[in-house]
Amino acid sequence: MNEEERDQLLGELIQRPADREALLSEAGVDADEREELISLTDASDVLWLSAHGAPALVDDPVAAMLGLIPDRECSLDSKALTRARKRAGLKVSDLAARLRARGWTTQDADAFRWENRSARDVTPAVVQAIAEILRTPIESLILEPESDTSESLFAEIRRHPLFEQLVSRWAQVRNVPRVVAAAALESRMIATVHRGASPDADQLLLSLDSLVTALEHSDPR
Amino acid sequence: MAARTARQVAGVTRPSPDIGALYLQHRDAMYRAAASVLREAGRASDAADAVQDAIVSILASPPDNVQNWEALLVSTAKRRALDRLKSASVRHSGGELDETHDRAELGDDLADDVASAVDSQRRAALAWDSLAALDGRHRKAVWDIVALERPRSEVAAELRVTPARVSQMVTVALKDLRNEMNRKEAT
Repeated sequence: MNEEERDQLLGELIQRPADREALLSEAGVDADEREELISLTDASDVLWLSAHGAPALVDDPVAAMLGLIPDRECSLDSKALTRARKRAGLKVSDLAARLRARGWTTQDADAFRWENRSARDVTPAVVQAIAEILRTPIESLILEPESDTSESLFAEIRRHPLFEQLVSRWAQVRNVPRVVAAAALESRMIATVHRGASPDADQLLLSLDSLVTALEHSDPR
Repeated sequence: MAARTARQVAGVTRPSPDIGALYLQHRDAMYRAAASVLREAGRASDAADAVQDAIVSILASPPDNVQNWEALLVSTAKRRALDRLKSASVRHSGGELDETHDRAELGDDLADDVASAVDSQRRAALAWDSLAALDGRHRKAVWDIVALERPRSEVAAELRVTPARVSQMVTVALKDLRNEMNRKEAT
């Protein structure tokens, strides 16, 4: 068997894992070649496996089904959490410990942050676990959805003539298609709002204008 | 969402872990176990369905007295993957698969399943790390052909070489990858 035939056989062995034994028998390879080919197919199997783990959490339908992806419709209300925890007579560290006992990787610092800074990353499944630990209805722990407010704000901005101009300028300075430029600016808007700021349309447009201007000034062309 | 079950430990009822928390810890192993079973039938892309079937079956009928959740989740994912192969085989041939085939594939000992899953996870991570030792063109050739199962002609066109040259590059890359993995395991 020459090298080209061996490369071709290895390709077949990789493509048809169910037929490996038959392929090796048909090829009539000697014991040394057989051992080498099996060793290389083992390496290929491990490499194949490395590409077939779970998808990213946001793309995992099972994770979505289990409430493991943060959802604006089910955001934990920091103040309501504090009230419910105190009512249950638990310390922040007690709540974290009880979540850990249920398998979650919650640290004391996480539980502290949920009450004092941001709880937007808490998934619906964890909110449910907290509700069960604190023996309180889950509805009492979640924020009123703000999606309508945000979405109407974003829609207003998208319709604004200045936004169109900003998209054109961004596309030019970054040398990207307009659709990519629009997506970049929209992501920026969403990030601004979700960081906790509550700007109106004019303020958001001004902030985007500053960003684009800064980019234009830093462009060496 | 979170299924609540309970188990008796030394006469004390303790809550079982939340299924969501368990899934986060072991979903990678579940996907790999299911994909491995489905691969030989060319249906690795059905792994997500098999994993979903596994979780749904556990939610529908939460097990008691689970000693090793990882083993249970991995085994259930494999079992649901086999169920999918079995139902496809029945649909296509009109015949039934031998039940002993099912049991033989699963193994009787859950500990074997979890040991195998842990080893697979470790070696998959090792292979991924070892790819860095390859040059860019060989890395692309072996990753696209072996891991992503892309057609050789497409990869050849992208690398601007002949399909035969791609096969040659894959062989070289697999040898280098194997050597790098052996080297890392030895240290």
